[in-house]
Amino acid sequence: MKPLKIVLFDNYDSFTHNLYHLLATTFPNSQITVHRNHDRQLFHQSFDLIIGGPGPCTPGETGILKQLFETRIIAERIPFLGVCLGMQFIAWYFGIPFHRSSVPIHGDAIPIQHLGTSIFNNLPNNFPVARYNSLEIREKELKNTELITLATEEKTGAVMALKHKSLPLYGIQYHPESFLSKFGKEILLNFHNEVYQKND
Amino acid sequence: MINNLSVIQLSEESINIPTLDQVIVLVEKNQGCFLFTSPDKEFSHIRWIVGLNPIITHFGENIQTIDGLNIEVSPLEGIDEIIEQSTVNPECPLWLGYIGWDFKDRLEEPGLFARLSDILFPPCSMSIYHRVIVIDFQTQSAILYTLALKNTIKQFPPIILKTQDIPTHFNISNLTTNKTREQFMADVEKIQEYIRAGDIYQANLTRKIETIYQGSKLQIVKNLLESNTIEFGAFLNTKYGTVVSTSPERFFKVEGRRISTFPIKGTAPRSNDVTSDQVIADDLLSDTKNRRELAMIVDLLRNDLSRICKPGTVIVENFPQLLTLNNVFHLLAGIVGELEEISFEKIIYAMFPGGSISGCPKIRAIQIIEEIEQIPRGIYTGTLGYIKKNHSMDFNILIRTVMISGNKLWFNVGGGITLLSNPEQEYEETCHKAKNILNALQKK
Repeated sequence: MKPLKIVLFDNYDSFTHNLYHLLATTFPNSQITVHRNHDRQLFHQSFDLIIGGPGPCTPGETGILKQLFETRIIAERIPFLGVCLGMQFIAWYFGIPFHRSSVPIHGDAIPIQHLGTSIFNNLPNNFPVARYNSLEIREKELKNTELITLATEEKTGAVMALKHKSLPLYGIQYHPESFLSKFGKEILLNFHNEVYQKND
Repeated sequence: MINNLSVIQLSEESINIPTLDQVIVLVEKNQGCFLFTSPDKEFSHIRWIVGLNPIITHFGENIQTIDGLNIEVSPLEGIDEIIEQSTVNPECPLWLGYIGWDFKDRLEEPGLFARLSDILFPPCSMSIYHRVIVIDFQTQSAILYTLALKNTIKQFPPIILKTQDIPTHFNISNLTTNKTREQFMADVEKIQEYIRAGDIYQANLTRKIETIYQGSKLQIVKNLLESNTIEFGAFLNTKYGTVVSTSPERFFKVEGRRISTFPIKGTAPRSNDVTSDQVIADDLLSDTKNRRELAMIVDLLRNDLSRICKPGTVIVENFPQLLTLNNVFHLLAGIVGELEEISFEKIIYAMFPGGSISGCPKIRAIQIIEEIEQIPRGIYTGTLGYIKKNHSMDFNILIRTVMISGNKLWFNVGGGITLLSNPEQEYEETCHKAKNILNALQKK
């Protein structure tokens, strides 16, 4: 695997450095830099992929992320993986509404339902993942949009992972970096394979 | 300037083990600091550390020496350097003291937090003392280290262990609190609305209780120090006032490159009956609200340790574990990591204030706490502990901590608020915590 320049976009969150350690152990030769969400250096810096980190509040309250999406991430087709607020941001960016969660859960593991494709390739169904969200994206509202549902929470039908139809944009609602989640590393490796297999 | 600041050891000798009364009197008379771990815990070493007569004090943004030097520094700058430059026994505790909750804004981007400050106590006070006594009850030994500023002119009188009775009489009156039951319950609901809106998952909400006391301050101190649920307690006497901590919670501990932290969530009063005691313990271990709250604090502390530890070394050792104290059970977790660099300054920047008494995500939770609590917390929910010459560190979370200044005595009580909190129960829990402190204070 070629060494990567990875940007970890920090929305003033308290789990950012758990993601940092997950990235550093999954991609040991990579150079990972953490930037708070108003860091305008990101408009000029070169990087291979970007992790849109979790954070408080709503998808619109993510600093320069919208501008960065327009000027860099989409324009240059830079692979993006959004976690929690980062996933909600992708949906919000493409005009999909977010809602207050019908069953908000913080700090507990729930089973995740997926089809074993894309970033869930080779992973068992219903493995436990940590939820820390009060807001949710609903599966039915992704129909006939540019986004595809990759995983859901069985009980509520809330989207637990999604991707864009043609751009290398992926999102996970749960927290792969939590000590309560399984297969955090595998998800990142699958994401890496997804965005690089076509070019390598 | 800091380059020239260092401490040397003049002597090291064995002395008789002082009594608690002797220690209390020494600390009172010599602007001292007394730290101890309680003898009734299975997993901690029984030890007392006493510092007397500060020779260097770090107030967070300036360092003052007994010779009258005053050096302005960036927040916490110099603590690690002075340890490095000093020549004393590696086992000797050098810095003793606290960083108060109010110091938090100095450690973050300007503008994120309000610059609230308690006017009575400085937001940070860490001192190196002329005399340091380390008492180990396992080996039944007491060692007295005598330290001095390098090139100093200042002389101190010798310390004398006198048998001295502490005056016993005191009384407490005019108990007031800054939040009524209704206000506190409304505050809980405000936090829950922030949680539903997606701002945070948890916040620690507290209220302040104030009283007037008359009579023997030292008897108050002694009563508090002898209350029996203390994991890491302290009695600090400064020219600004007195701090007595009966904390059950450790913030972090450093030995070599290993750092560990032990968040506590959930409390259940124990029963005298063995069967119901077991039921209470099992209920606490399986309680959803407490488990989830502990889980989020574990992830938060993993994050804070990951800022200063080598990737892949941060491990959750126990989740959840039952902590059994004399009168209550708590849920406890243990998280360990291997530090990239052993630096007190870096550890505090990464971890302060502690996750269990702020909230999650921490920055937004603190902003909400400031908005809702409105008054500064002062020292409360900061941290107090010591750093040895060999860089071993041990710091508590300043909860169940009483401040005394003039004829006023005050403390805060609080709890973690999540979506699963019941406002009425949360208020009752603060009453229960206040009662425990007041009972300890007034025990006969």
